[in-house]
Amino acid sequence: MKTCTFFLCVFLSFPLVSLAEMNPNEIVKKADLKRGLGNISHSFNVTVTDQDSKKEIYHVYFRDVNNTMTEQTEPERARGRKLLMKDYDIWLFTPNIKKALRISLEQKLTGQVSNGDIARTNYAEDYEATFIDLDKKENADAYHLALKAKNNKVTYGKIEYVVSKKDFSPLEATFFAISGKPLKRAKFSDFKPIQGMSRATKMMIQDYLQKDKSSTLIFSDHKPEKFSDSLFNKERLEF
Amino acid sequence: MIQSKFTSVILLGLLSSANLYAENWQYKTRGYMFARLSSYTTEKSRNYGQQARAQFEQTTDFGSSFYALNQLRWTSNSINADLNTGTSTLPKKDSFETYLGENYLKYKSDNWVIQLGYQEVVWGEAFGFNYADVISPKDLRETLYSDASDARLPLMLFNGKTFFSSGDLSGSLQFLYSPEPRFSKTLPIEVYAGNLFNSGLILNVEKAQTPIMFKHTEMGGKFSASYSGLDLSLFGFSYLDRDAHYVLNSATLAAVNLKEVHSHIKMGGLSLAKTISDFVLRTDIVITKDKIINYIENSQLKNFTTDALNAVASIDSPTYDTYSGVLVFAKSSLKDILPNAFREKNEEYMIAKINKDFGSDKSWEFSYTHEFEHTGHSIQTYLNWPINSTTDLKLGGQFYFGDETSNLNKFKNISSVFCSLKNYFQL
Repeated sequence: MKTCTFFLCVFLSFPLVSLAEMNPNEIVKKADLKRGLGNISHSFNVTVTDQDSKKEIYHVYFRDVNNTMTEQTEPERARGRKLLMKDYDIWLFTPNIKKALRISLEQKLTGQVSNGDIARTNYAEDYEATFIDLDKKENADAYHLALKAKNNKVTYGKIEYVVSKKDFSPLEATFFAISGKPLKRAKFSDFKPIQGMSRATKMMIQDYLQKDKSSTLIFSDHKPEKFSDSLFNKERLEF
Repeated sequence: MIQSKFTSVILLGLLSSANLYAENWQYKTRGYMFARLSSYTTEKSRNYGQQARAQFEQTTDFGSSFYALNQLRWTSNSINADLNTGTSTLPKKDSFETYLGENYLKYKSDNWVIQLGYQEVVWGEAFGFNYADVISPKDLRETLYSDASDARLPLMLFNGKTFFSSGDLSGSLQFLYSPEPRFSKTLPIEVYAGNLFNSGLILNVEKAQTPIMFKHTEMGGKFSASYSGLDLSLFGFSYLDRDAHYVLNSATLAAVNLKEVHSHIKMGGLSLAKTISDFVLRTDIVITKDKIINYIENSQLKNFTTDALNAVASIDSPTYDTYSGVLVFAKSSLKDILPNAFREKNEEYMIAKINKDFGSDKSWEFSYTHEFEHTGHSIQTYLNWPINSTTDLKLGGQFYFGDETSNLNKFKNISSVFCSLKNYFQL
């Protein structure tokens, strides 16, 4: 009987042991690698389609998490708009204004999509992760994490993040404002082999309250590439 | 004969090598067409105001470093005639203009860029009052509530910029040289002079011509740096005033013939933008030396020289739900003033703007401008509604009112509701 109780205790404590062993920030780092090429210099395209099938296309130059430049190529009215992010500084260049203007990270880019959703996607850099209480778990095959902003310069105050235990693939994220108000929910899917690893190529973002408002982001054409320092210089955006 | 054959062989060689290169060149032709119809709301019976613009643009990428841009523009605008109180002979309603827009060659390397040709250059950080935006001349018929890009005119420039970065610090050094100054397209003289001239007097104004190349040259530069949430620029430019002052050509009892003159002035200043939490603060401070201002003394048109200090500060709010706002305060101050001058010693304005974003470039904007020295007001509101991926519809109104002597009230004749369409195309 004692032996049975011992094995039962060991069996029941297994999930707790595995949670304790796995650092939540490590899980977020591994999940980040499933949404991009990590911190290596590369470029990729993002196609954003909203609920009315309106399409916007961006080309992203990613040197590292602190140096990204996004250039819009469609629709025609927005062609040439550029968004530069250096650390937590962000500038927007539009061909009609003809100068790079400092804006805040929170300012929206398109529909339900924030600037940070396209160009600043490494959560491990910006958020401190903890496990969510076990009784709140909905999916036992996934880690349920609460990501709290390391500072108030980031896009969201908090993210509730669901990551697959099997291969650390990101599954779902719910985004909250600094005030704690839920803003939107995202689902990650269409995992495809890119540069030797299976990575999510689709992110569906839905407004938390107005469920009929949604945007779908398709990530494609990931290419390792080297960029000069001046590409990430605010003063170069007009050229 | 041998020489001729030799030349032909060289020409053929050049053409075929150009063709080989041309296979790698990328051409794009695009542009837009814009039309706006305004129905005036003032008591005075007027025609419908009209504005139309079109731009055709061809870009050529000669590989990764060389790039060329060629623009052709066409414009028609009735604002001058609509503002005209009947005593000026400035452009009539049906004035159509076709002109070359930006036309330049660009060479890019990793750390520097050179642009040569007709181009538009923008300095300054703030919105609403672009005191630092002095390089490119403007079509002042467009500046009231138009995009600044619609008002800007190209200027022949050598424009060189070098970039630097060191740790968190990055920036640039820019040098500008223009051999051919150009001037802004001015509004009717009554807008500047108010009722200083006797009513009933016919005012004929001879516009200034663009000076011949290298007769007058302009030069200046800008140093910009960004560090830890702050953008700072220091700049200076020596140039012919884009705005005109007037001198008397001749006069009769019924008419006065004036001539526009542009004097050589110097400007210097600084711009800064700073992120404060989710807000963005922007400031431009500009000092202009040797500005010439007209005044009337004993019924005679005279002028005096003075310095001006112009400052503008604005703060952008973050987006709350789908709303965002901008608050702007601007002050323009002359060092000296004389009675019956064409402008006040101090001019102060405040602009409050609210924008609602409906997503997919759909937006509603409301803007209120308050003039302090002589109380004046203007309101503009519009709905911008893309009706498909290439066409934008804009519906709105703009209204000017206030004291008779206020600057904003001088535009009361163009208070109107309007409807415009803008179509973008790529061939």
